Amino acid sequence: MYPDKKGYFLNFGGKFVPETLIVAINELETSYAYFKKSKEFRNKLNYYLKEYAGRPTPLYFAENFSKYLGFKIYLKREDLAHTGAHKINNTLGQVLMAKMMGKKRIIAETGAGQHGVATATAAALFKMPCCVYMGKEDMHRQSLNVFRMQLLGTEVKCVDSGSMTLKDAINEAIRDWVSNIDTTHYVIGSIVGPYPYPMIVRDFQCIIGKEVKKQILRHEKRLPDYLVACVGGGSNAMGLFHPFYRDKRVKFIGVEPAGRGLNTKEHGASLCKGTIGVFQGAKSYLLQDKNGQIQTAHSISAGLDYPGVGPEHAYYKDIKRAQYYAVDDKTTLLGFKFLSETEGIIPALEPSHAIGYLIKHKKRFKKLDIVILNLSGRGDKDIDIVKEHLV
Amino acid sequence: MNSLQKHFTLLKKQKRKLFLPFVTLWDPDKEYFLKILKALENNGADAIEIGIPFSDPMADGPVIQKASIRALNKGASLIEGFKMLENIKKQISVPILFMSYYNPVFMMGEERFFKVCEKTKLDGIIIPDLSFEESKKFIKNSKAIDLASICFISPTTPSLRMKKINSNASGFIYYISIKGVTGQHQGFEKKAIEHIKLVKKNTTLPVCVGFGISTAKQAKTLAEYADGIIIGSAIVKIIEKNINNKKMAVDEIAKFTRRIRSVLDGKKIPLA
Repeated sequence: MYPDKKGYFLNFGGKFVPETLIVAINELETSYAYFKKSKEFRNKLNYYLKEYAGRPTPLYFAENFSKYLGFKIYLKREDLAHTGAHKINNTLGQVLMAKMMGKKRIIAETGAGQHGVATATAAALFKMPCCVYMGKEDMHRQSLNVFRMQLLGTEVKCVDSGSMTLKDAINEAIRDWVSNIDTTHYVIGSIVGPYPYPMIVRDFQCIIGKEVKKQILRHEKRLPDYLVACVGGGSNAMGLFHPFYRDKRVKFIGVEPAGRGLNTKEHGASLCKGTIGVFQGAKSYLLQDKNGQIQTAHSISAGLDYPGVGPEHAYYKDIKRAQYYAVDDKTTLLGFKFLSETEGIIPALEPSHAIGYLIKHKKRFKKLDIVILNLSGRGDKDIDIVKEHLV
Repeated sequence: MNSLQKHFTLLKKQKRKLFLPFVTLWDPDKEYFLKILKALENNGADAIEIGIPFSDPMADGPVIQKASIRALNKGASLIEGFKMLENIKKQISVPILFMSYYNPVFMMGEERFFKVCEKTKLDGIIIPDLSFEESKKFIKNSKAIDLASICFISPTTPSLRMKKINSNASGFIYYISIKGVTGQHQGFEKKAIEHIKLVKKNTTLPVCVGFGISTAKQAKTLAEYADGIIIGSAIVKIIEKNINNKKMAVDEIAKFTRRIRSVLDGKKIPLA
């Protein structure tokens, strides 16, 4: 079972970090191994997931959307979880763990602001001071979430280095972490970064797939044919996929952001168009040039605007356990609009990529297919961007 | 024995401390970069660390980040660094080390990287994000071609791990004097000295101290306990300050280097 002892998913992952961080990462590895088995920790986390975050989230049969597509589609309603996205599953787990480890301060990075809000929320709940790094460009396009974090008592630090988006916010958070290693826990928001992060975040997100498995068996008395989710760093997709890993007949589809087109340089499709490299602590697929410089990603959704991807997805791609496609900004907006109109659900732009994929490629599916789409977040935060494009 | 080890043996005989300045490749431009290397050598640098710019330098503070962007905008890269090394080697006789994040090396391909290192006679390589855990094969290969592969020890490294790192490393141990990124810091010397003593106890290679050092006074204090001093941001900052007067940058760097050299050689800190 991956990751192995060295933190690799076959050829991907690892611990590519400066020496100062190694001790913190090793401490995290040991602590996590302990808390994973601790009844006290698990009971506490389950309590907060249920009573505070509102889990389990529904698995909703989207009848109108299904009729249009010509096959059965279920939506995993992560948009209904507290703070409006799946990110809370991970932050409650990590912040609770940090608290029990005796850490005094929480830091995080955020792209769309959803992970930042979810971290700020968990930090408020567990009474820990919190600082979130956010790219200047993202602060501008997700200003509502900046204000939400501030309301929750978090300090939002503006990152104006590099492309001023998610990857630069991660760099800044790492620099903060190196400087405050004794007191601070870094809550990484996706299944990226050095081992053990890709495993920890995945494990906390697996509640999505575990619930789906029970729910679909109740609804349909059988497992689904397809699981579909958007992939930036890849945490919502992996949270859905991983519990079905051994169910070989369940096919996984990950949808990456094609931005302004895969033939342009303005996309974020690391798996579809990237090459293997080492970035922010792990070996995985990346958008980079021939000199190994990391390129700037582009997506209409800030949450997928990342030039790397979690090492476990790289592994799934190479062993062909999952298939990865990319959907451009235009199709994403179509998906956004369509779900809003047909189901009365306004999705975030991130899962709108997966919705767009189903609309555009509906002919790939058969009439009796059961497809589960991870509706990883709600769209309130994206209203301004969509308004700009649709009006 | 590689060139760095030879140099350290010589320094030890002379009871001198090593001064290793850092500059980013092609900063502020190709022509003045060479002039700066010359100024460093002529004024007392024992070896020179050349930073290969990377788009996402996670161990670096704002000064080196900015220098990296300047260099990237001029097209600097690992390959260009190697291309220039031949020319540098003709004009500069002190050992040359490259500092690069791992991805440019990985992208070049390790096999090709080592071949080029051997051909261009690079003296040492420093890769801050290639952890001890990930570095074993890399270091074995570098030893085979007498390339010093520098390993880091930080204030968070436990004693047992120091021993392991030491047995793996070659050239010298790069001791990171602060918990943090590169750049100027104050008031860390006392703690750093305690740590350096501990590092010396657990290692056999020479120990050079870097990160955070910007003044001659700091260099003098720390050099009493270490075998060498590494200064980067303070020098890069001189380039940044004089970006519109490159000749001035060269002169200032020469002056700065002389100051560091004289304090390391046990002289009083000269007036600025």
